[in-house]
Amino acid sequence: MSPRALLLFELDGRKMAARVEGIRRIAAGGGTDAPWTLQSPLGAPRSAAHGLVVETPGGEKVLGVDRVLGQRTITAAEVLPVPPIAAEVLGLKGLCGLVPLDGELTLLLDVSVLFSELETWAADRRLEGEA
Amino acid sequence: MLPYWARMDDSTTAEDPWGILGQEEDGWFFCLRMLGERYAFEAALALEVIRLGPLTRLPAAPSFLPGVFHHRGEVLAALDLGQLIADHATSLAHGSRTVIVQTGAWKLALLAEGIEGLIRIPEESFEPPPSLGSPAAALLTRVGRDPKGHVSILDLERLIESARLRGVRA
Repeated sequence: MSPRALLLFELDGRKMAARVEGIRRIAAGGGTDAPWTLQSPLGAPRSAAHGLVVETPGGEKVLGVDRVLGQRTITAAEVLPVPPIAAEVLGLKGLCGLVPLDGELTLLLDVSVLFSELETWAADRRLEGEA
Repeated sequence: MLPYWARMDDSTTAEDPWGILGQEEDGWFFCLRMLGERYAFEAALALEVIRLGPLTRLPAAPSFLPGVFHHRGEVLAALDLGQLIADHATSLAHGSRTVIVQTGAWKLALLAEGIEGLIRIPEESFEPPPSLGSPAAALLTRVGRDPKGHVSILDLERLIESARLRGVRA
C-alpha cells in the first residue's frame, strides 16, 4: 500500500487531517492576501492562528485553523470510508474518510472540495436563519 | 433456524445467549426501550449487541446522527432512535449497549435508552399501528403484545429512509 502523508490540525477543538499534497502551504494568522474562511461545516477556529492554503478554481483560499499539529504517514488501507448513511445525511463531499489515529477516529478532509461546497452550505445556513 | 448473531458483546462466548437456537424464526423480534415505551424490529435484522465506545462527532451532523465509531475494522454510524422517533435525545453513558443492525445496504448502530433483547410476540396479538398523528406512528408496521406488555414494531427501512430525508432537508 502506498503511504499517504497527512497534515494534522486542530479546528474548533477537534483534531482533523488533510492530505499534505492538497495543501499548498501553511500561513500564519493574517499572513497571506488570500481570503480566509473562518466559518465552515467543520466549525469555527477559536484563534485562527494558522491557515491551510489550498488552490481552488477561484484561486488560493485559506481555511483558518487553530493550530497545526504536525504530519503523519499512513497507508491507504488505514483510511476508512464514511458510513454510507452518514455520507448521505451529511452530503459533505469534503469529508473523504476517517482514520484511526492514537486510539480515536480522525476526520480526513479534502480542503479544496470543502471550499467548493462552502457556498451551498452558507446559502443553506442563511435559509435556516430566515426560516 | 435463526442465524448465530445474538452476541451480547465482544467477549461473549455462549453460543445461544437467549436460548433461541432451534426454535422457529417466526415471531421473534429485537426489543429496545425508549421514552418509557418498548419498540422492536425483526430479529433477523439485528447483527450484534456491543458496548458503545466513544463516538466521533461529524461536522454539521443532524441531531439524530450523534457520531460514528470504529468497530471491527469499519466505521459505523450511530443513529439516535429517540431523536428519530420523538425529537428527544437519548442519554447514553460510555459503555451503554447498542445494537448493530443491517437492512439492505444500510449497516448502522441504533442508540436507545435500553436494550431488552429478543422477544417473541404471538401472531394473534398483532394489531394495526395507531392512526397517523405522531411522528413515531409513521414508522410503525403494527403493534403487538407479549407477557411484558405492548410493543410497537418498527419498520427499520422506513426509519432509515426517514433519517435520510431529514438529512437532505437539514
